[in-house]
Amino acid sequence: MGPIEIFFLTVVLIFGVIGLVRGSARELGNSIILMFVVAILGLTGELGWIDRLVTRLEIFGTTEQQVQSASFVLISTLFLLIVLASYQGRTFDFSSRPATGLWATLSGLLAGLLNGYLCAGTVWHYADLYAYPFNALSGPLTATGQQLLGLLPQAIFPTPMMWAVPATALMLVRILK
Amino acid sequence: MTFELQSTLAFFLYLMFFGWIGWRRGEVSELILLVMVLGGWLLLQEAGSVFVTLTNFVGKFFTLLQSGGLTGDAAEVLSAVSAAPNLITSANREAFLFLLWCVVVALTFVVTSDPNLMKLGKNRWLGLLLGLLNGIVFAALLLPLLSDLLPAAARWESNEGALAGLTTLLDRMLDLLWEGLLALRDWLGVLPTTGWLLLVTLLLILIAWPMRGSAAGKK
Repeated sequence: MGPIEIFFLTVVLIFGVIGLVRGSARELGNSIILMFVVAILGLTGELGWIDRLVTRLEIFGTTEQQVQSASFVLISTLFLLIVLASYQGRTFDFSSRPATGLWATLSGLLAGLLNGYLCAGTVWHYADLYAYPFNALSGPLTATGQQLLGLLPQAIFPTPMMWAVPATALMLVRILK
Repeated sequence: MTFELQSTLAFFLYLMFFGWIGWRRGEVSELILLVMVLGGWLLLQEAGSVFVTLTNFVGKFFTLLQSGGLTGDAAEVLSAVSAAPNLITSANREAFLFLLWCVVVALTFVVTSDPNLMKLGKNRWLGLLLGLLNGIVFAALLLPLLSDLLPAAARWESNEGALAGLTTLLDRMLDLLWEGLLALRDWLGVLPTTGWLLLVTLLLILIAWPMRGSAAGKK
């Protein structure tokens, strides 16, 4: 297992611990937002908006490597700002009937792990898409890394837009009485 | 101290733990758990092939959907479905049934930990007794499956230091956990993408369902 996989798993684990502390009632609100953001970022990629932005940056005479670095910074900064805002601000919360006991612990951990997977997985996906800018990865990925790449949020479904399905299902559960 | 006495004390401690859980959860929760543990085990042993067939049928159904079964050419769809591998084969049948049993037991434990259900149990001593019975049942069902760990545990008796047995046992447990995760990954790898989507959605609904409804709506 290489450093990038260890980093990915560590981030997922940290989010799991955060989920454990915050509880599923709050974590699920973040999950809704993160899943929609992953879907929308996937859609912008499929529609070619990101590519068009990259092409525009090339007009300014930047090198291919600089364009890739700029694209990665742009997308990951935007994504991480949304993550930060969702954790700091108000989201759809499920705290009307919070889970109790063992189920509260387990569900908080699961929701936290899902959020960690969405966050770390998205950043890793775009780092891979833009050829690991800033020499983030010097050598080739290990076999485990290659396998994990196929399991990232953007790769696990035929299109990342499918993340809108569980997000919508959660929203429906949220508005049910 | 003889080894037999040590074993007896260890088993007594193990049973006390289950008894304490039974004392806390009450006899109603413990009785439901006992019925589900034993009933689930017997059902999966006797009629496990029904669940295997059903799971494979669901897997084929997703293949049917993915290959355009509802709109596409019938011949192509049929060939795609017949060529699709079974999710559960003879190689992973036992592991699948055991996993299914674990899910049933875990869900029963969570559901029967509901405070309202636990309040129904008025007789704590009966809860303790049923807890002890659950401990014996779990030991009888799970100890044969822990045979991989027992040789490592036997080093406890050796003269390699007080913690040698414990560290070897922990090492072996971590190895088994990692091997289990790899096996699970291999098994999940054959799931069609629609299956993944359904799995994620159902898991999230399962987590959110008890908390459904907005805080404002409850005022």
